[in-house]
Amino acid sequence: MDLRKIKKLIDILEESNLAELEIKEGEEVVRLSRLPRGMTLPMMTAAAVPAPVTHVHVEQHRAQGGAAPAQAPAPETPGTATTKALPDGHVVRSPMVGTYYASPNPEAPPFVKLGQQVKPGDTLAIIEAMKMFNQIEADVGGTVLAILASSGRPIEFDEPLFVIG
Amino acid sequence: MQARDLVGALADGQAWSGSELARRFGVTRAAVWKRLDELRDAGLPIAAEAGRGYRLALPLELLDPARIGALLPAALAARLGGIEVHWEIDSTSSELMRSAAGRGDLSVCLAEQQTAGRGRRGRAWKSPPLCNVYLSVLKRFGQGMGNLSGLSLAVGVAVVRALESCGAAGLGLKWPNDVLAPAGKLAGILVELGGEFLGPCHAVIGIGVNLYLPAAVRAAIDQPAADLAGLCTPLPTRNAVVAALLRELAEVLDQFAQSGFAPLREAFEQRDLLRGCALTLSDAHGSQAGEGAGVDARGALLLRQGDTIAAFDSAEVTVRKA
Repeated sequence: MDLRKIKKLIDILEESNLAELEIKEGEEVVRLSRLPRGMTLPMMTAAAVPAPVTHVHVEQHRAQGGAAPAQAPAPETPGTATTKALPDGHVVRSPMVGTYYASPNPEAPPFVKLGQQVKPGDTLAIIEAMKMFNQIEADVGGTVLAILASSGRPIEFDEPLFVIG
Repeated sequence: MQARDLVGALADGQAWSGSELARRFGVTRAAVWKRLDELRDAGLPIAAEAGRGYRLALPLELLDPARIGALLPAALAARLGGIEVHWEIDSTSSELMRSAAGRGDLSVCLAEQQTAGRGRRGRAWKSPPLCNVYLSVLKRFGQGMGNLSGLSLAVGVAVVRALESCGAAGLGLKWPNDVLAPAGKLAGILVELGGEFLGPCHAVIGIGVNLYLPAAVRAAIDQPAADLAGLCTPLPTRNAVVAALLRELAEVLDQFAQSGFAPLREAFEQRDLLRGCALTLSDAHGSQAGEGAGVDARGALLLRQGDTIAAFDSAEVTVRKA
């Protein structure tokens, strides 16, 4: 399914009171579900009320023989699970050569997780070079649709780091 | 009686009895003892001498914006975006990062003690009261973050020059900018950037200099450390050390804003402790060995491996013992 279409669907879900949305198109099925922060998918399906602030969790898989897929565990990365191309959305790129860090220190949780809502100005990551630290901030608000770098790895100038949509 | 007032009374290095201090501040002797205990716990070296009273192990002047300003060239003092001194703060750099938008170029933030002094990658920087200098400076640049490569090395050059002007000798720089004395690390620098890649941006330059490390603090630091008290006789006052740092920093930053790191490369290489040393560079990819071959015009570390020289922007560097 076209990634732009998925983004539209996310918007529709965001504006709605729905907790879950499933669209079937030919052989493909896309299921979107809103998860309150920290809640796991099975718990969510049990909850009847829509979540307040949302994680949007995207599942996309090929329907087998046209039937709705079994409750597969949600893939970690929506965009990269089925396609190598970047999801449609705003791409945040590295402003410098350096080392990419996903968290403020090795013990801390990452600044952002996949599917998380971010506001403009929220810190997404840190790039370090020559002991200069550059906080990468979201320049648009939206959902983190893809995280493209891994912590502790070297990063090139202009390399895509995040997709926000 | 605030802790700061009590320290101010002891700052001259003279002995004060508990009852003298109690009288001076109009409190009970028990209140004085309690405050002294708190300060000792925080790492301030207060000695109790039988029959004489309490005194600091060495004179430690409280930081004073007016005194610092008076020690600066008038033109520089006029350019500063202000000097503020906190008795206690999480971290002087965190404070400037938080409030960067409302501050002018060359805003200076100092603290007598830090509760969450930071080093690289969230490592703690030990910050006992008065024993060190914790200084952060906000510097604005017009030409974008993309042109700030090498800034952290340039700051290292400024800090070495400042501490040399205070009387310290035998200092060198370990790429990118650890200031080392023969006995160990004397000062650490952390630069944080904000703003736009191609437009206006700013750097918060955080500098921690060990002035006097009490034995207990020294033992708690996980690497060999040096202090200015061990290198300079007499030990310059804390306000004089801050003024020296600001003076050299302003000069180097002006030069850097004009032409980047290239003109400071030679000054860095004169103090480069890694040149010719057997080095191991490691990152998440693994590690590689080679020989330190200076830095390039952007400030990247050069590593000689056989006939080739490679440049590194980011890596953990260790010196292999021969």
